Amino acid sequence: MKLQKEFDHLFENFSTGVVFHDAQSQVLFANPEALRILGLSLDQMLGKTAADPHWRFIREDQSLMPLDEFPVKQVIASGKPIKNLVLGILRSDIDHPIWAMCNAHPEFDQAGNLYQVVVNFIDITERRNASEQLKNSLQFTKDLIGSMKEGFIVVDSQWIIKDVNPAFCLMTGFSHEELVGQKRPYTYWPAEEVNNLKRACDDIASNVRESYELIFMRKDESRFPVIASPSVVKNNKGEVISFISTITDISERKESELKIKAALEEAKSAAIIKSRFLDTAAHELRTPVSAFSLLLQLTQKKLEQGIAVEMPILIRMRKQVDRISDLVVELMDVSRLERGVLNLKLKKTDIASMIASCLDDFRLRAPNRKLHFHRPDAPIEITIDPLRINQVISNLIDNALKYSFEDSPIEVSISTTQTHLCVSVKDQGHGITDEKQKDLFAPFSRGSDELTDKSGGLGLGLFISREIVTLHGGTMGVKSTIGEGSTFYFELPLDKK
Amino acid sequence: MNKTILIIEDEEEILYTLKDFLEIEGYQVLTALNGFEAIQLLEKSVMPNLILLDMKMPIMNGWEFAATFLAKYDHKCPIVITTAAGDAAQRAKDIKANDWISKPFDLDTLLEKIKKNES
Repeated sequence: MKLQKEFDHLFENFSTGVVFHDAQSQVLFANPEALRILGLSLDQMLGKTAADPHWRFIREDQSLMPLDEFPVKQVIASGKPIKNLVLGILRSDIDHPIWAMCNAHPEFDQAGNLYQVVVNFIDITERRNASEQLKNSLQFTKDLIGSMKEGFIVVDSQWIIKDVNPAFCLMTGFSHEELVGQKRPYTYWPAEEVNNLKRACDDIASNVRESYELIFMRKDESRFPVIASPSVVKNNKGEVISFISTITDISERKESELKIKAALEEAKSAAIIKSRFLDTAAHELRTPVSAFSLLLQLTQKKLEQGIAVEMPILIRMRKQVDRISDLVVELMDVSRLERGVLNLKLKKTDIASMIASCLDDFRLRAPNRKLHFHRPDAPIEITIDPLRINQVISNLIDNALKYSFEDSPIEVSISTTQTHLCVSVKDQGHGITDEKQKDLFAPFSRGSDELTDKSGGLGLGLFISREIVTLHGGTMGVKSTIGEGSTFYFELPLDKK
Repeated sequence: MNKTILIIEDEEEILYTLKDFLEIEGYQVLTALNGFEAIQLLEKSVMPNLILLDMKMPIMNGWEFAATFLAKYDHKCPIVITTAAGDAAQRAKDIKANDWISKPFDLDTLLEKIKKNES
């Protein structure tokens, strides 16, 4: 009796649903847990068969389970037990299925006939939801790593590659198969980097830093810089099972870094040139200003002492002011060129006559020098800014006079082709080395050593001249031989007919 | 007797303006366009009462002249340097000159310095 009571108690409180069916699948008995799971009362269940529309089950794939697949029906049909069948129970009172894991076994009488089927099942809804969620989140992680732009790599404690993501393969040019399971971990390690990488690996194994800058190697053996951000995966014994890391290709970043560095260097040297220029300009202006000031003071003294002031001293003053004026004009030209606002006033001009009169002026200024002009007899008409081209020619002749000897001749020539006009100024000075020729037309380049030659000016003449020629659509250049002299020339396009 | 001043200056305009001025003030003026010319001049003529020395000159500059002069004549004649550099006093010290005047200068200040240092 006591045993029966215990058995009854057990039955009532079982956490497994138990249903007894007869050989026609009529329900003989169901325990409270079965009723709870099925959402039915005992009255609703007793005497019902499997065919009763109350039972609606779905398979694992959510499709409706046909009658003959019901556990009880299967056992009745086969006479064999069913183990671990997962099915969903559709209840009218709940909008989602209750999932259950079923076992069912037949009971045979002494004659060997099946007389009873015992079905037991447990509610696995929660467990199944949890497993669904896990599956989903696992899939999500897989998709994430698969679609990441960064490379992702998993290696075991011996640094053998366990897995890589598509981005890693793309980055290195290796296929998944070529990388995973490679006995040697050196597929993407360039030979010269092996020690660095080994050191990084030891580092990671003992004490992971946030990131490492490394050099990896592609399948085609080209190198590229990367940043690796590793983490260690340990089991619950604290042993290392694997290392995982994102790998980011930083070649673009490195390239930009180099470009920025180069640009910075350029800017720095430009700044130095500019400040040196400012210094030179100030110095150049100081001399004529000084001289002019002294001349004025001298004039004052003379007047104080009743000494006559004569024209020559005024001419000397004038000369200094002109020097200052020239320097200022040069500075303004350079400023206009820098800002791109030097405007040409174009006019149809007989350039041959223009050069001829320019040379006449020079002959007045330097009567001891030999200046020759080689030209065709006819006038040469061309649309130019006559003031500016005159500036260019004067600059070239000035230089020629400055850098050659008193008795050496200066030859100025003009010639034309079908499309262009060429003017050249040839001197027999020292000549210019190839080295110096490179920077000749650059702004602020001076012909001679600054300490010994004060008459160098600002070194802007050739720069400005070439800019003017370029604005006219022409080119300017120099040919020189050491010991023989130099020829400065420029070409201008003739007017189109 | 009038005192003599030697001006060593490579800017001709400045050189001759100073000459004119100092002559009005009653000095005898000798001129040289660079250190080399100056040394040659000193060999041929009497020792001046003051040397006005520019620093940046071609062929032989102020430093070189001072070294040569002091080696040859010791401190027989006071030297006043003229310079546009910011550290004029230091430069004067460096070459053992007696005094300095910064460029650009005015004639009155120049006269003061001359009167102060002439031998």
